[in-house]
Amino acid sequence: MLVYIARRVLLMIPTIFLISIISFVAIQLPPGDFMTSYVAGLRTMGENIEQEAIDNLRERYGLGQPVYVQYIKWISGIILRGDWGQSMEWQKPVKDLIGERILLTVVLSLVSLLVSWFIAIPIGVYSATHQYSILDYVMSIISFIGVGVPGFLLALIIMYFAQTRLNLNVGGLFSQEYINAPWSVERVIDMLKHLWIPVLILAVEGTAGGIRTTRANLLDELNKPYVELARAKGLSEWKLIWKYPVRIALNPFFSTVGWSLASLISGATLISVVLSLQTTGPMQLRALTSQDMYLAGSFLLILSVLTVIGTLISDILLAWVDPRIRLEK
Amino acid sequence: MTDARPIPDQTPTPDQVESQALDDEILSGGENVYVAPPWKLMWWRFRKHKMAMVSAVILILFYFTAIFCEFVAPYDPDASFIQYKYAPPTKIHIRDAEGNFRAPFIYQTQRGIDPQTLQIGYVEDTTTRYTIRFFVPGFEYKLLGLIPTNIHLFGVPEAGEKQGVFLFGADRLGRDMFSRIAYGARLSLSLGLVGVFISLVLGVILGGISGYFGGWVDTLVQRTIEFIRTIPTIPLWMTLSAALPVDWPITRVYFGITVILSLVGWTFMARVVRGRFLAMREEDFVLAARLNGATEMRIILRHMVPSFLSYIIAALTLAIPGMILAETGLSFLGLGLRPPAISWGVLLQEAMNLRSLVLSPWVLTPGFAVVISVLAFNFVGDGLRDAADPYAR
Amino acid sequence: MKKLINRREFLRLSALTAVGTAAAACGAQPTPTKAPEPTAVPAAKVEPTKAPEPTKAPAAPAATKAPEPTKAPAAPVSQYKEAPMLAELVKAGKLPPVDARLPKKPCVFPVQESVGKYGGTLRRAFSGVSDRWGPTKFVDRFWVWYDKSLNLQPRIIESWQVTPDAKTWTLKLREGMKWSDGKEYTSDDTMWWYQYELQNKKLNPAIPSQWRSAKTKKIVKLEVPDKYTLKFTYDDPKPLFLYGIARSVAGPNTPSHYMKELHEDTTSDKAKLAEDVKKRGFDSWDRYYLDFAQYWYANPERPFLGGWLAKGALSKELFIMERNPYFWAVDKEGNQLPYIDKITHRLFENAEVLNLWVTNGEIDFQNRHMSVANYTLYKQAEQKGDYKVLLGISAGHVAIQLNLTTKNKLLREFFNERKVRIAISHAINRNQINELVFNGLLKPRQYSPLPMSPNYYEKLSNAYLEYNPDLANKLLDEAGYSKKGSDGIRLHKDGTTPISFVIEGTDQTGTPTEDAALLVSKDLAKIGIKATYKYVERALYTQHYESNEIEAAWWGGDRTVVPLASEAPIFRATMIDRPWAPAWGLYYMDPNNPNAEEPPQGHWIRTIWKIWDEEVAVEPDPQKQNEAFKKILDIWAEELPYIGILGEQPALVIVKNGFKNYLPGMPIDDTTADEHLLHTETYFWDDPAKHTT
Repeated sequence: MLVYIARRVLLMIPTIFLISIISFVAIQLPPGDFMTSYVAGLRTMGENIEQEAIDNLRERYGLGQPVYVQYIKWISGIILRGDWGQSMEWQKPVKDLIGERILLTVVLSLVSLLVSWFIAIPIGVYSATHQYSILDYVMSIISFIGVGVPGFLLALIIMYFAQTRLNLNVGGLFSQEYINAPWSVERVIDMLKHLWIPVLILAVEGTAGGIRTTRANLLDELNKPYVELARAKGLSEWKLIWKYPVRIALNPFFSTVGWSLASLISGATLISVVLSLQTTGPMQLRALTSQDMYLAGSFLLILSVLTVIGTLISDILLAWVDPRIRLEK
Repeated sequence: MTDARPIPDQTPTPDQVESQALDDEILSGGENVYVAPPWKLMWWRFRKHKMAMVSAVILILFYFTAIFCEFVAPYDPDASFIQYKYAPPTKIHIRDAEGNFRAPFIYQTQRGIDPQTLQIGYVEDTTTRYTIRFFVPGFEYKLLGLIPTNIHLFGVPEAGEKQGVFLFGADRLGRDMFSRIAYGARLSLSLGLVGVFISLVLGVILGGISGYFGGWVDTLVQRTIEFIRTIPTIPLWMTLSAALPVDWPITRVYFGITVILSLVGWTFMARVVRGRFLAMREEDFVLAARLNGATEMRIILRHMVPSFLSYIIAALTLAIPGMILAETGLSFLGLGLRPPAISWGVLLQEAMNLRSLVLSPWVLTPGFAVVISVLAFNFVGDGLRDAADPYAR
Repeated sequence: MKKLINRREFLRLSALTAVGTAAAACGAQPTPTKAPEPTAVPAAKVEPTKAPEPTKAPAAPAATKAPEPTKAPAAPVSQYKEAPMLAELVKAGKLPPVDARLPKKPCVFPVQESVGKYGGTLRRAFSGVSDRWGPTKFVDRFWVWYDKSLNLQPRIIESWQVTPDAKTWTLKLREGMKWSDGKEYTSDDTMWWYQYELQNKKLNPAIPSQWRSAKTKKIVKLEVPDKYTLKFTYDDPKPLFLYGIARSVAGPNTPSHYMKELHEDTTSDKAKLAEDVKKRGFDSWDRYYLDFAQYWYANPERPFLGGWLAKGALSKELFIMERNPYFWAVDKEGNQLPYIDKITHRLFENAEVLNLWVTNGEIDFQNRHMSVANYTLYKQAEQKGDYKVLLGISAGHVAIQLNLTTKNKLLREFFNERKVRIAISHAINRNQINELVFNGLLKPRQYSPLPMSPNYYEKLSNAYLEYNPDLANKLLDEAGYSKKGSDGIRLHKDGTTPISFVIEGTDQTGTPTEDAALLVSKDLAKIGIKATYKYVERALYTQHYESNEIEAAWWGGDRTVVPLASEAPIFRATMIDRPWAPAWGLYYMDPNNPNAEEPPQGHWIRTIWKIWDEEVAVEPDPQKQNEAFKKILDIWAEELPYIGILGEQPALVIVKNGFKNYLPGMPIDDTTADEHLLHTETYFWDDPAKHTT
């Protein structure tokens, strides 16, 4: 097992290195650079900026240098000094920017993830054990709708509903008066009044997938001889299902940990944009559109590294849960 | 929204998917079960899944609309009429003001504007009626791109340009939403199919190679897949979309977007294929065939492919909704198709605002088209998967 | 027309007398008698149904505004009143009394409705650091500023003088005016800027044109005869000098006592500075200085002259600005301005969230990001949100630019034919586009100065507006494009190539401007011209026009309120993001630019440039200057280089009920700080206690 892990970790290093190069090049791929998007942005907002000023800016930001020079500058900063560079748009160190938003992001994603699993597993088990029953159909329809409604649309609709019908303030995670307030009971209540919307939307999406996965895998398991055997032996139906098949049916949850880790940070990008949440998602999206190199590159790198680590964790978990996989290697 | 990443792996369990027991009805078919060809077994089993059956019918209707959208659409989807601006869905009556039942008809409507808010409203004028007729002449088009005609499924020919029948209302430029959705179906639904097809080709070839040869080829392909899957989807989309040349015409942009979506999608398909390939090599029936002295070719073609195909079809069906959703996501990010192209993603993007939601919610109907098609594809895929292995028992 | 004469008169008088101190409304001591324009316009309560008329009520002739030796209430106790929150600080000994904080002669801002009340918070929204214009346009004014009738008035300075040749400008500063940290603002500050910022090669690799002579390109000479006098001397006439000192973010008003410590040449502790540069993540000092240190909104510690000061970082979810206790202006009753305590800007990631805030009454005063497409939406929620939608007049136009210098030879020949451009203008059904897309809120017009502008010219605004496809077809036939292909599209003069071009635009899907573009392309199809509208990503659009690889563009036109202030760049083809002749425009700015191209001899664009360079840009007499500019507009009306479609777009301004001293019907343009033409410091809440969030 240890050898297996060690080998995987070693393999990670070249992958991450390659990813860092690709992320950086990918950002440069679209035409123009930060200055062109910056200037274009100013102009759409009715501001003007002289050509010579643009040239000066480009010079100042080192945008005239070849890509590899910029890359080496960036990556060596990260490795040697833990310096992720400076965001051109926000005029702040990337580290600080991401740091400001990361906590909220992780909390939001974790809560949604847990909520969706909490709902999905029992429903999935029920659906599988009562295949083609009315409730199974109803659950299926609901969960497919969850998959089918584009999240950004749902977000807008729920927000409008919350404002007009429930008289809540929407947008962001706090009402304006609590944005800068110190933590207090009122502030927590205010946050909960906002938090339920993204959690609900994310959970609807996550639950849908979870139900389908659990149902499909449990169905597979339920038809296996060992289940028959256990049933023949007179094991109670409850025990019969929860003891083994459910556990194995949950394997896919472990294998999705790899994804979940990265989506903790980027997961709810589109929804966060619509809901105007101050999470990392919208910032990442904005950095990519404005070609804010170091910020966008850092996001790509972090997300990719998290995916790689996540995949590793899920492989280890799988190997731990299911000895057959370990033996294969 | 976790973008359109394919549904998490449902295949790593190396065991075959065994379906629910064939029920009494099939069993009571007696000996038939044992001699029926695989596709028949599948069909029997598929039939059991009621929602899948309903969904299949819906999908057939949707694709019919997509193929014959010019015929189904009563109006040119690009024609804008000031007199129909923000017209709500037209009420179809079968009972007139005097209480008599008639063939379905609509009333002439009068448009009014609130001088304060400039809100547009329509009231029915019950003195003028137009009967809805079928197979009526309308704008000219070429059926299937070949036969020039002007016959449309339905319409109110008597009304001329005074009044239109708008099943789903009209948008901000007075364009018929129903016609636009019908046209949009063509791009959105075919994008799913084509995209999945490209993924399939890539996935089957690379996954097959990987699963069949094993060894370093397998490792290489697997690493590549892992690598592609490591890159977050949204940036990958953005980069690839930005790489599309701007001077491309709409059709080619459409094709490019399809390729982009499938470039992300094939990795999923490749893993499914490889997983099935590996698992099936160990199956009893393959072993039996081998012991019987069947050639490797015969084993693959006669025994493996049929049971394999059903899985692929199921996986494909389940991947299509992902593509359709991804298209809407791309449009939301402003990376997808653009007007004057009409796709569901474009229509949703145009309608994704508070103004539409509050003042003219009917322009959000493309959202329903997306939901229903995704729902239908999922059910059909579900049914197919349940029916996938005809020899399960 | 009278109002422009005021400004001309004003400038001419000062020019003729040369010594005649041009002092201003601002210069006088506060006296109740001098109440400037006691609200001639009925004010915010009256709601304009449509785009309101240009501001009437011409300002009192400037000449009469000469300082009126005042009988100021000479009570030594306290001449002036201040906000309660400041009074408390004074009591606690944390702040000097108000009389000591104000300059000897504070500027007196006119109020539009009435003298205000202190207190309250104003809630606005912005979309991040790149959208800092929400906060900055609210406060950034410089030495002079426009009054309601678009005449420039002294603001930070007490007065100015100009020599008859318009080469030397002398500015008089206010004695005793303080930076927001209490240090005095003197001519030394500007001198320091002149020496260490303007002439620092790292900070200013090229001297901005405002500080250079037009012909010799030499840097302006600055002299400071005393603590309160600045004397700028140019080699050539600089009649547009004042416009350049109206709006500014940093520049000459630099708190030298603070900035010199952050300047690598003048700091007393280089190591500490270097450390700070590093700590803030900048890799060079010049970036640190230019992107962070010198801006009040980025660097809240930097002393400032504006009405409100930054509290906290701009990158946060809520950007807060609080009153500047040393603000140097008062109202006519001697109340220190501003009235409102706090301005907040809340960050939104998505325009729909902002719309939800508006309709829910969570936004108090906002024009930026308020789309005309949402008129009905905002209007319907007026009661629920307890606000009014007031209309200003936007300087923007819906327009199409045909690239007269396109690299496609046939197209170039086509576009350069005057009859073709006029035909295209007649082919566009402006009323239909207006009704369909803009609810009829706009007005058909060519790209030209707005009616309230001193340069308004009806002949150009109304040129070739009539929708007349028959005439358009006739003109095209006459121009030699009568042959049509089998698909009904006209052919170029080579007889085989169909006339087809791409209009590039950057508008988002579903926006009114994109809808309008699609309708225009349909209109053109009707006269046998295939014009395909195509969305391009902004960065790409930039590349296209910079390299002159664009056939036609869909970008409106603004800067039509005081076109001379921004040196009329669109009229001269120098603003090449509106690429009606980018290659020529580049040539005019820099003949060595690789994409530049010399226009043919005798071409009318040369006449435009000649008129600008030899008359408008050097003419000290404002009246003659405007007359000269009209000649350029005449050429435009004749040649129609730019196809204007609609204009005078009402700009929606969300104004919470109870918010006072803002007037509807104001022009809204970048030059005049968008919706903030009037003194923002005089805005106030009727009931401040209700607005304390």
